Amino acid sequence: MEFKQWNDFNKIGEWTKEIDVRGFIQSNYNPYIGDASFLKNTTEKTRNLWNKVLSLYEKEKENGVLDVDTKTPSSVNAYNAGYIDKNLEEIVGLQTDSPLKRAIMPNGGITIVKKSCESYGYEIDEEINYIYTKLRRTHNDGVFSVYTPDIRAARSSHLITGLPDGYGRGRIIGDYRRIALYGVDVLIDEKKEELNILDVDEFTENVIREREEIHDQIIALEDLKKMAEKYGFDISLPASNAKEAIQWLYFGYLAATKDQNGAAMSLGRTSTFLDIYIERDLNNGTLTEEQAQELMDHFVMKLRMIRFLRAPEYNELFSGDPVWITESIGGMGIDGRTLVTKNSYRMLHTLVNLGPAPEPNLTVLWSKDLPENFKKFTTMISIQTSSIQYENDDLMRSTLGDDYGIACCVSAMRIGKQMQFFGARANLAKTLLYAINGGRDENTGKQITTRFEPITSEYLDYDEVMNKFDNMMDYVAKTYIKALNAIHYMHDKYSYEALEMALHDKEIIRTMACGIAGLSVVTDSLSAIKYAKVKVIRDDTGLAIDYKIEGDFPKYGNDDDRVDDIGVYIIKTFLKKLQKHQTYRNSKHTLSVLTITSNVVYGKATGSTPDGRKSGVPFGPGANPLHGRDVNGAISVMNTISKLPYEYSEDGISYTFSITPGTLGNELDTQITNLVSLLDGYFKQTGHHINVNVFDRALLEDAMEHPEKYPQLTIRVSGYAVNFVKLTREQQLDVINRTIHEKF
Amino acid sequence: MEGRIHSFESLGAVDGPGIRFIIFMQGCSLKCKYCQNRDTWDLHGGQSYTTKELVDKILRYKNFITPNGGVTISGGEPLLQSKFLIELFTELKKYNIHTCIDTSGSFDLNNDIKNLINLTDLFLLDIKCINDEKAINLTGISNKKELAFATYLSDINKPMWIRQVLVPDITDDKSDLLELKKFIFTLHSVEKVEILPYHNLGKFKWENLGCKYELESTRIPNYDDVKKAKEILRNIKISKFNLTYFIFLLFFLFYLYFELHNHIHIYNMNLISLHLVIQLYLYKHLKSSHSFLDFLLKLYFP
Repeated sequence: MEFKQWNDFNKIGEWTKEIDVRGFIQSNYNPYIGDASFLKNTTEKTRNLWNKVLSLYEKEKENGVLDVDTKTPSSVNAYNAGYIDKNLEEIVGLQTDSPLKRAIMPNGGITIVKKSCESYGYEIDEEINYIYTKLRRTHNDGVFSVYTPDIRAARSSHLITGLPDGYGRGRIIGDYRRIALYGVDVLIDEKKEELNILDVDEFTENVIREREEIHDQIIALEDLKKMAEKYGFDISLPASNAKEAIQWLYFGYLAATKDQNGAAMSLGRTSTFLDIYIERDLNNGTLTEEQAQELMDHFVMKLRMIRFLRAPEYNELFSGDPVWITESIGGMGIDGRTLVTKNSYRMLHTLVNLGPAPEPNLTVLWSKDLPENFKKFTTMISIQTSSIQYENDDLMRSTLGDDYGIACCVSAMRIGKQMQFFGARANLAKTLLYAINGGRDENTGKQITTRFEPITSEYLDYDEVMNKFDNMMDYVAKTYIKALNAIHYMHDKYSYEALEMALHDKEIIRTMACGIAGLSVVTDSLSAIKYAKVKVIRDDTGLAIDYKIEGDFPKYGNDDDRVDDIGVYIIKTFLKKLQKHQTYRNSKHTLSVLTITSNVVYGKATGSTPDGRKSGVPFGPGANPLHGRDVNGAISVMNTISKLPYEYSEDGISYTFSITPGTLGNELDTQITNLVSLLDGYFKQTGHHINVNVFDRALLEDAMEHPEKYPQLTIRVSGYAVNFVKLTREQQLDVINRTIHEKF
Repeated sequence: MEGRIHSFESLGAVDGPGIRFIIFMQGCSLKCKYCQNRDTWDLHGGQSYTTKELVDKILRYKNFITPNGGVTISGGEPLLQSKFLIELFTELKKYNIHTCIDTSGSFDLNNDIKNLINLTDLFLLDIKCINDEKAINLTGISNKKELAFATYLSDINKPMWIRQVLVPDITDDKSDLLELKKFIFTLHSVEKVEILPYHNLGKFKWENLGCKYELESTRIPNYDDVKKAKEILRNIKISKFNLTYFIFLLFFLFYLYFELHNHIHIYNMNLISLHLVIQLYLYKHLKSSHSFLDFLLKLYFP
C-alpha cells in the first residue's frame, strides 16, 4: 500500500503491507520523558464552545434527558449531520441530528426502549413498536425465548445478577485508529479478502455465520463512509494530518455509539497513536501546540457528550449513566521504551482545561518504569481531579503485549484482536447462603435451585459448609454459563456489533467474562465459621435467616493470610468450576472481581450473612473489604487485594481507594511523591487496578450521605487515623470543614 | 523480646517523610488532656508482638515504605519500650528501612535511650508547652526532660521535627510561641517545625473508657489561628537566613576591603570565603540552615 498521506512516516515494518496499527506506532512514535511545561490552556474557541455544551448540560438536567427521537431506530447512518455550533467545532459529529438528543436502539430490546422512553415522559412511535414486537425479534426477546426455568429462577432471585440480557453487552473496543491510518476503503478490501478466505468447500454453520457477520461488517463500513460524507468528509482514504486523524478516529467511535448501546463503549488506546500525527504537523509547521491542545479538547468534549437512552433501574445498577469511554494512556513498550508521549499529557490535561469529569474514563497504565515526570504529572492531576484510574501495565503487558486497552473499567484486551462476552456476575455471598439453606432463598423461602440437603446444625461446621458451598458453586457455575451462552448467542444474532467488529481482525480471541460479586462478604463469612463460632438463627420453616457470631475472626482487608487465603481459594475454585462448562463460540473463561458501584444493589438483594453483615447491607465494591472491616489502614487493604491471583481473574480485580489530600501529605509536592510511592508499591505487589479518589468537599459530603460507597475512607491527622464513615455526623462536618481549609 | 502494641496504620503519610508504616505502642507516662489516643495509656493493654513477628509484618510493606518512606513508632509513648525498639530497629537497619520515633522525649538519657537514639533516623519531638507551668497543667509533668532531650538530639546532630499542638487558650500564647522559637533557635538539627491544630476527634475514646474529657469547652483552632502560629514560628528560618547572609556579606566585604585597599593579606581569607559560598549553596539547596549556622559559629567564634 502506498498513500501520499503517509509522507514523512517511517515505513519500516509490516504496517504498510497489512493492517498493523501497533507496527505503525512502534516505527513512528516519540517517547516523551520531559515534564508538563509545554502544555497549553484553552483557546477562546474552546471556551466558547464548552460554555455552550455546559448550558446544554444544564437544560438536560431538568428532565434527565434533553430530547429523544422516538421514531428513528439508531444505526450508523440513520441521522443527518448535527452540530453544537458549526463555526466553533474543530471536531464534528453527533450521535443524532442535535446535541444530547438520545436515540432509540430497539435491536437490544423493545421493552427496555419503551420503559426508558416512558420514564422520561416520551412515548415510542406506534410503527416502531409494531415492527419490533410483531415483525422483528430483539436480543432481549431472543434470550427469554430460550431461558430455562433454572436460569430464570437464578436471575430473578439475584443469584446471578446484572446479566446483559436486557441491555447491550458492550465491552468491545473497535480499533478506531485503523480508520485514520488506512482509510475505510482499505478496511473494506480487507474484509472482502476475509470473505474470500471463507469461500470453502465445507460450508458449515460456523462458516455461514462468519460470512454473514463479515457481510454486515462491510455494510457497516460503507455506512460509516456515508455518515462522514454528511459532515463533508471523505474518509475512504487515510487521514492526512492531525486534525483529520482525530476526526476519522472519532467518526469510527461515533458510528459505534450510533450502532450500539453497550454497557461499556470504550475508546481504546489512541493518544500515543494520535501523537504521531500531531508531531508530524508540529514539525511541518502546520500546527502549533495551542492548536494541538485545542483539537484534543474538542475531541474530548465530543466524547463527554455521548449519551444513551437507558432505564432508571439501569442507572441504579451502574450509579448514574456511565458510558465507560475508557481511554488507556501510557504504559511501556515491550522494547523497553515508554509509550508515554506528549499527547498522553494533552489527553490528561483536558481534565484541567475542561474541568474534572468521569468521561472519558481516563486510565493510566502504570509501570514502575514510567518516566518520573509522567508519574508526577498524572498523580498531580489525580489529586486535583479524582478522575483517573490506574492499572498495572507490568502485569498485563506480560500476557497482552503493549497494544492492549481497557474496556469498561478493568477488562484488558488486545486492540482489534480480542473481544469479550460480558457476563456480569454471580453473587457468591448468596451462593453461600443457598448452600446453607439447600437452595432456598433466604429472603423469600422459595426453592430456587434444585433441592440440596440444607445444614440443620445449630452451629456451622467449617468442613460441612465448605462441602455444601462447593456443590452450590458447581450449580451456580453451570447455570451461569448456560445463561451467558444464551445471551451471547442471541446478541450475535439480533444485535451484532457489525461496526465495532469490522475494526477487528478476522481471527480474534473471545473471552467469556464471568464475574464474582460479594467476594469480601463470602470470604469473611467462611473465616467467621472457621475461626469463631457462628450460630444459625432459623425461622419456623427451618430457613436460616440470621447468624450470631461468638468470638473474633480474621477479616479480609487486613493483610492476614488466614482469611485472605480463603478469598484466593474461592477465586481459583470458582474459575475452575466455570471451566468445566462449554462456552458459546469456544470463548475463554475469565473472571473478574469488579462491582464498581452495583455492590449496593447486590447487597440489597442478599440476606444476613455469617460474617455478621445484616440483610440488605451493601457489599464492598469490587475487591474491597466490607466497610469498617479493615482496621490497619489502606496499604494493608492493598496487600490483601494484591494477593488475589490475576492469572485466575484476568478480567480484572478492582479496588476503590479514597483519601483526603491532607492524609496524603501536608503540601502538594509531598502528596504527589507519596501517591507515586503508593502506586509503585501497590503495583509491585501485583495489584491490578486502583481507582484513586482524592477527596474534595463534594465527595466528603457524598460520603456522609452514602457511607456504603466509601467503605474505607480514612482521614488522618498526625498520630491518629479514623474511618470517616464511622464518625458522627457532627464530626464528619468538622472534618469536612477542616479539609476544605486544609487545616490538618 | 516482646513489645506491647496498640495498633497499626499501614498508610501514614504525615508522620515522617514518605509513606510510613506506623506502629502505635501501648502505654504512656504522660496524661495530656488533649490526647487523641487515650486508649493507649494503659501500660498493660494492647497486644504482644515479638520482634520477629513485627519485622515480618513490616517487611510485607517494604515495596511501599522504601526507598522514600519508612517506619514510624508512635503511641502511647514509644520510649517506654526502648529495649524492645532497640531490637526492632537493629533488625530494620539490616533492610535499610528508615526509622522514626514520635515521642514527648520526657525521659532520662540513660544508655538504652541513647542506644535507641543512635538507631533512629528521625525524631518527631512533641514539645507539649514551652511554658513549664502550663506543661505541668496540661500533661501532669514538667517539660524539663523533654527540652533536655531536644538539646541532646541537637548536640549529636540527630535530625528532628519539632511539633507543637496548638490548643486555644493553652498553648497558643504569643509569648510562649516566641519562647519556643527562641528554644528552637538553640537547636542545630531541626529539619521541620510543625503546628498541629488541636482536634477533638479522639474524644469518644475517653468517653468509651468512662473518662472525663477535660477540654470539653476548648474550641478547635480555626484557619487563622494556625496561620498566625505558623507565621510566628516560620520567621525562625527567615531570621536565620538573614543572619547568616548578613555574616557572609560582612566577611566578604571585609575581605574585599583588605584585598583591594589596604593590601593586607589575611591568611585563609580566601579559603574562608570559599567555604562560605559552598555552605551558603548547601543551605539554599539542602535547607540545612542549622548546621550552617553551627558551622559559622564554630568557625568564627570558637
